[in-house]
Amino acid sequence: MLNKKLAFFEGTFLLIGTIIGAGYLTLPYSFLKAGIWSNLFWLLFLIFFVTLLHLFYAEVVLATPTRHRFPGYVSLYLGKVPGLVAKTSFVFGVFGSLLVYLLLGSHFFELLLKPFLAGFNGFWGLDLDKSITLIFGLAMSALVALKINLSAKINFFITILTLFLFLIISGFASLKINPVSFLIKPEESFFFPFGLVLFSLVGSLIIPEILKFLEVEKQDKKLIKPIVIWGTLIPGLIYLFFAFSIFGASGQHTTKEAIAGLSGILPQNLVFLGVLLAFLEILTSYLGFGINTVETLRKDFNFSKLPAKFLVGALPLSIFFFGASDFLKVMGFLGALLVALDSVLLAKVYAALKIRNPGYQFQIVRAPKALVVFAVAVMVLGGAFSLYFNF
Amino acid sequence: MAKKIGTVIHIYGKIGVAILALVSELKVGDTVLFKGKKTEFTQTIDSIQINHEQVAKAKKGDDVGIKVSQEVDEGDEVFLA
Repeated sequence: MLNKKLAFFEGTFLLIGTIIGAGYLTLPYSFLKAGIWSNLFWLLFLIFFVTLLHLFYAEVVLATPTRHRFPGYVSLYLGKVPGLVAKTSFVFGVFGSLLVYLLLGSHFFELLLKPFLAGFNGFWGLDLDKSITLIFGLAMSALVALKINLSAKINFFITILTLFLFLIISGFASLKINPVSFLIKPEESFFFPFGLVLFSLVGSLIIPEILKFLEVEKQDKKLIKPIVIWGTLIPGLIYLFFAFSIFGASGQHTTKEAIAGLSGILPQNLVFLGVLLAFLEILTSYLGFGINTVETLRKDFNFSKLPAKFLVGALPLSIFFFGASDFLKVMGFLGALLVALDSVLLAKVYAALKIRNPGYQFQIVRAPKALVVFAVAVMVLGGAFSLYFNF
Repeated sequence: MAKKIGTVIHIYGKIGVAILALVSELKVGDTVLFKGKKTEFTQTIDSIQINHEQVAKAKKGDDVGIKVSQEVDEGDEVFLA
């Protein structure tokens, strides 16, 4: 059994490690496109609401004796149709995330290969981007099908190293901030950052696991509250520092994946190392997530082995060839539509706890009804406006 | 032949916790053997949780959470050692 402090640190770290994925890499570009004020607004505003939603999820998991995935809780408390909506959102979310890994992974792959690509313009009539995405996608599909991934310990080490390096890069970039960057006129709407920030901040998937961790370590369940608050706030603050420094230093040259635009501003080796580690991080996340998805399709959707593996490999590549080739748009869309939809369902499940279990005493968070309604309104309006203005 | 007491039905990989579906009684302090395609080890049960609560023992039909000392896979079988 761990002592309370260690349990707090381990739980908080689990949440931070889950939240910080690939989404934040798009935030400096979002600063460039939508301006500093709308980005600051959405980051701070959504840090609060995502923290609240994470707390709601903890409450729902603790209030329910049986173990479910998120769509299972929705079916249990809100009924069949909302449950089906949640399940559909889950499936689209899973394949959408695989698509994001495919697009980002091949983008970083291309950045790494650039010095060796002089004269190569693609094959089979495909342009360079498409050729590289096809090679990367096929290689990843083969590794997923063969269940090849690095050990959990090495993956964890890569995540820590990447985060650490990105903090160093942000630190260096913060010394090179050019105030002129902040005078660049935004081209995109106020709602542009909504989906990207939401996609980057949500980590509810790990909440049941953190609660289970507290149980097996015989800790007070209420410890989940500071874990969720700090575990969501810290990634939010890291994002702020990262986006502010990288955009501040790169200005007009800020790239969609944040790092390439730093060439010429930061030492070349540091930029190369950043690209390399980001690539490794995305690659290992892709493999882990892909292998998990095969298992989910088999267990929860009764697929047999081969079709499940084929779908995980082929579907993201097919969506890419049908035209979804911009990872920024895909992330923004997933955030504004699916994450916002799941958030609305979660707030409604939380509100249903008292109705379904009369006399239930809240254990983690007792939110006034007005706050729950406000959270739903933010997600519905934020999602709807960003879909309207951006897609 | 050791007595089978359950099967691993879910894993929380990041924290090393397995959910077992019990076909026989399990108590804190029992020594159990995990056996599967890639798994074979024994360990003592330190704590058992059912429905978010700590219990000293669980009975046939319960789904319980226990901390595992090594990696296990879903489908691995658990025997009383």
